[in-house]
Amino acid sequence: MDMVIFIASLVKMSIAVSVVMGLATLLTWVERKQSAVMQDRLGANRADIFGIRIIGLFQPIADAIKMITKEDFVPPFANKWLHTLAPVISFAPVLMVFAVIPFGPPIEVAGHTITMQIADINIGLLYVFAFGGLAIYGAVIAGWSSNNKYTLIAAVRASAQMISYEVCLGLSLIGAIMIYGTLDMTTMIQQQSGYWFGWIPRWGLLMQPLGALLFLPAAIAENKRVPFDLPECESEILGYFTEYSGLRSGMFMFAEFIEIVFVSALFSVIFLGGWQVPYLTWEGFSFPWGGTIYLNIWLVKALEFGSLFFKIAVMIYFCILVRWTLPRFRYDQLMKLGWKYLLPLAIVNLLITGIVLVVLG
Amino acid sequence: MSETVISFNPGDLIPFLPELVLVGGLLILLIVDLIIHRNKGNTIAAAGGILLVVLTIIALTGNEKIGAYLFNAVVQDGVTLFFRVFFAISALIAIGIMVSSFKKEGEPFILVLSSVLGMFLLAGSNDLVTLFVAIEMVSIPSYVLAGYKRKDPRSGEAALKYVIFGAFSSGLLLYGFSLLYGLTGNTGLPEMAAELTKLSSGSPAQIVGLILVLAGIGYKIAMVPMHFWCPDVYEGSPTPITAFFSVLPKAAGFAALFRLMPLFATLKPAYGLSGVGLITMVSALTMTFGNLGAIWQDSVKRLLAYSSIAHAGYILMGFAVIVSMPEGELYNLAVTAVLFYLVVYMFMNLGAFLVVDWVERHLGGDSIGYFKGLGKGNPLPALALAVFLFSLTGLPPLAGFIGKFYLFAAVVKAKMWALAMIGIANAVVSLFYYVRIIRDMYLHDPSPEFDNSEAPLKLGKLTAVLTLVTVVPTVILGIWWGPLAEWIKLRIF
Amino acid sequence: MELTLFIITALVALGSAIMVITRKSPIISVLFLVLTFFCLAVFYVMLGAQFIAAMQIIVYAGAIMVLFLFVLMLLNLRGDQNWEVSGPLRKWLGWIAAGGVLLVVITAIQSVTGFNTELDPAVGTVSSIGDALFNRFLLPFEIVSVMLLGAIIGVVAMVKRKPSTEDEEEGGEA
Repeated sequence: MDMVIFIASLVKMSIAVSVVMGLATLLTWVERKQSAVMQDRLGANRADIFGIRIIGLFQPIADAIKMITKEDFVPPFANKWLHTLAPVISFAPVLMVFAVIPFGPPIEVAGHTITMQIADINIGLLYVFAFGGLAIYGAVIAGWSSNNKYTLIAAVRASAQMISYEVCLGLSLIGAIMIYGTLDMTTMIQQQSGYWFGWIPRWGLLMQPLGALLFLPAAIAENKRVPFDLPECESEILGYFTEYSGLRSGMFMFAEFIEIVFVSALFSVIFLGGWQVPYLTWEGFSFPWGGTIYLNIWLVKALEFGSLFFKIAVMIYFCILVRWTLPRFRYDQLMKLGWKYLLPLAIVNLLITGIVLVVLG
Repeated sequence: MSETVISFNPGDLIPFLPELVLVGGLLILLIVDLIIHRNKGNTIAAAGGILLVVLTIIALTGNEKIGAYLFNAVVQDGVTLFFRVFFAISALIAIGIMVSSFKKEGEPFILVLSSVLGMFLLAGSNDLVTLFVAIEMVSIPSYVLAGYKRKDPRSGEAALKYVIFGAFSSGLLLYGFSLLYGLTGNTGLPEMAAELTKLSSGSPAQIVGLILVLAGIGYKIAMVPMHFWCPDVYEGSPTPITAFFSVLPKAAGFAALFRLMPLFATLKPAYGLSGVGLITMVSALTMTFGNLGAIWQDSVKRLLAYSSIAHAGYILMGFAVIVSMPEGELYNLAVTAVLFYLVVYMFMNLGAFLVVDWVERHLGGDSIGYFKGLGKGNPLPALALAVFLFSLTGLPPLAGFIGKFYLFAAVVKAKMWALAMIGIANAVVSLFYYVRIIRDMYLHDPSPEFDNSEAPLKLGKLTAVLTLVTVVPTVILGIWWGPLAEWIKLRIF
Repeated sequence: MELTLFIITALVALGSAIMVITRKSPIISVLFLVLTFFCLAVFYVMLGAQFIAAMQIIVYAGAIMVLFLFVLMLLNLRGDQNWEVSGPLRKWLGWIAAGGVLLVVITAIQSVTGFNTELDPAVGTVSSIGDALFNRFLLPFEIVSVMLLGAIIGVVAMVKRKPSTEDEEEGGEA
């Protein structure tokens, strides 16, 4: 294999994993602070190192230490292998799906054009569906292997919910696939680079508003976050990881946070234009009213990297906003929403997209 | 965005009209079933019946000279037209039998119609993929129909056995298909046959592939050794559904075998095995096991199940001749024989199950004891059943005799003496168990423990009409079989 | 390198397939079956059929097997119940028959010569499969949708509660 590409892949992998895990860790703190702000209180600000508290930024470290040092407990008569395997199955797919998300524009290094995706495969979005579907196993095995009737019921609930919303997720994205004509995410971003009427950027959000609107609830439900967190609400009805403690349950939580980052990244890539900044070309800004600002190519690329992170941050903020605003759905409301409202709307979206594509050529 | 050109010509769909009408009718019936609230079963059945009559008319006027169309996935030749008419008429009679048992629900009829759609497609398939999709489309509604009596554990057992066995056989079929595709590189059936003939004789992959395909299709026609599901499924399913099973999916399996015959004909003799030898052996085994199994049966449904296995064996005799002579006058005779026998078998079997269903609905069960003394109080059904059973044996002057005569004529002309002897021996053996029922009907008194009554049982109008519809051809075709044979010859050749 | 990957994946696939049929607990069997499907997906990728690999995971491992798990969890079978009803003779006959079939199939496949060992990279892409599905296999593709409709109707017809008077008390659906 070509050394440059090999080294580039290694670098991409390490950067992606570390950035994602770092973001997820930060996300725990962001969530606590933002919920505090929304609820007009201070939030977690007690964790300190030698008396220095930076508005509670050491809280994730404190959480991590707590989780690692708790007792590692397998319930009696439970299936020990599966009990240990479930957090791994829950954690691995959500990391693996990051392999197809492009983090920035292609970079030319030493004569090679390196795309910022770890895996530049032809079936990009299908890979996301594949591994997204595997996350169900984590919840199911966790609930079943705990030798607990209630976690079993919770696992069945979780799998039913995830399967229902997986259908809507896929269908809502097919409209976008039809418009971009490809499954590869880098190409999708490049397709979003034109302008309507010269000044409206052709982002997915404007071309597929209904699809974007349907993608968000489906993705949040797939992630089992409020308002869809019925399978895992701890205090009201038992969730599927009740019998987990310490690092095992920490892995479940962490997997959930990583999945939030992933959902936000997916939305940004498909519907918000990815790393595109409006009016930014390779030479610099060129505004529709004629003004231009010339910038260095590396500054342009840095701006584009930054714009993707900005969009991901905005979407994460949105997810947290939704979480602390809406109450939890009841199970029948959840199922009804998924099958009776989102699914027909997704099909209608497909129909409209198809008709528009045929009419406009 | 890559440009892919879809080269689909809508004019190609005109020969496909029966299937299109069936799909459209199916969807409309679904919506009607959702809308109406009373008399669901009768309305849907009546609408389904009208749909089938329309389909028969369309199918009868089809043009058999059109070859392959729609990207060579489907073909329309004489065999296709014959099977379309056959399936439409037999589905019509089967739905008529089902009406009395499924008054309140429309879904069984819709499932029957979707199975019939698969059968239409099967009769015209020209490609492995179409063939497989059609076979699955025939099977899946049948799995559900077998288990339709939800409260009866035997019905659930029948459905489960049918599903598991069917899935397993689909796996075998697909494995055979994959081996054959690997050998030929093409999924169109004529192309595959052409490629296979180029192979040197005795290619093990070809042999294994064809045996697996035979096993997979053999499950559908209840051929030994894939027949084990047949008695249990036939006995456990609701009787009208058994009537449906004994004729339609079986004939669908034979249609699939028809389509696959060119592949079997390419099997040159090797390792002591050839296409002809394979099918001859299977046919002999099927006849024997079917007939021997029926002798000890006490339940008439199970007896008829074993008898249908035996009849599949007789029909396979004709297929053995077809495989041995890919074309020529013997081939014409064999094809005519097989198709004629299928028609005769349809009338006989549907009629027999019609009477058994009637007895079961009024007297409560289907063991032979219920039939005792039936001849005294209820002349029409008993006479009809006697006619059907005599015809199933193959006694003149009924249609069964003519059907068997055609088949034996083809076998004898092809000089397959052993097969002919086994066939005749089996026909003689079958006389025993068929006549036992007739003897009980006419020569015994009704037995008190089975709660038979000497008074005539209620014979509904539809049942009477259907009885006549099935008895009359059985008798007439035994005397005046010329027009049917000529029509078949005209359509196919 | 590819040979190593193939051998490892083949061993894992065979091992997990054997585990599927020899484990007592059905849920463990299902999980090993999922592992087998993963190995199959790896084989598909090695053959250049990426779309089929993705479909294998999405449909088979991600939907069908979850359904299996769902039903098994609802049935709540204990793994230590004794399901064996056949004696040792049957089991030995079964293994011998399976071994015989394996021998026959291996002979059949080994006898074929002239394999095409070059992978055309354009074959496994989504656009080429879409091309085939909408041109050559258009009819089966459309008919499959009607078949799925029939299957859905059948399943719903079987499990719905009948509101009619012929079934008196519905003591729980089977």
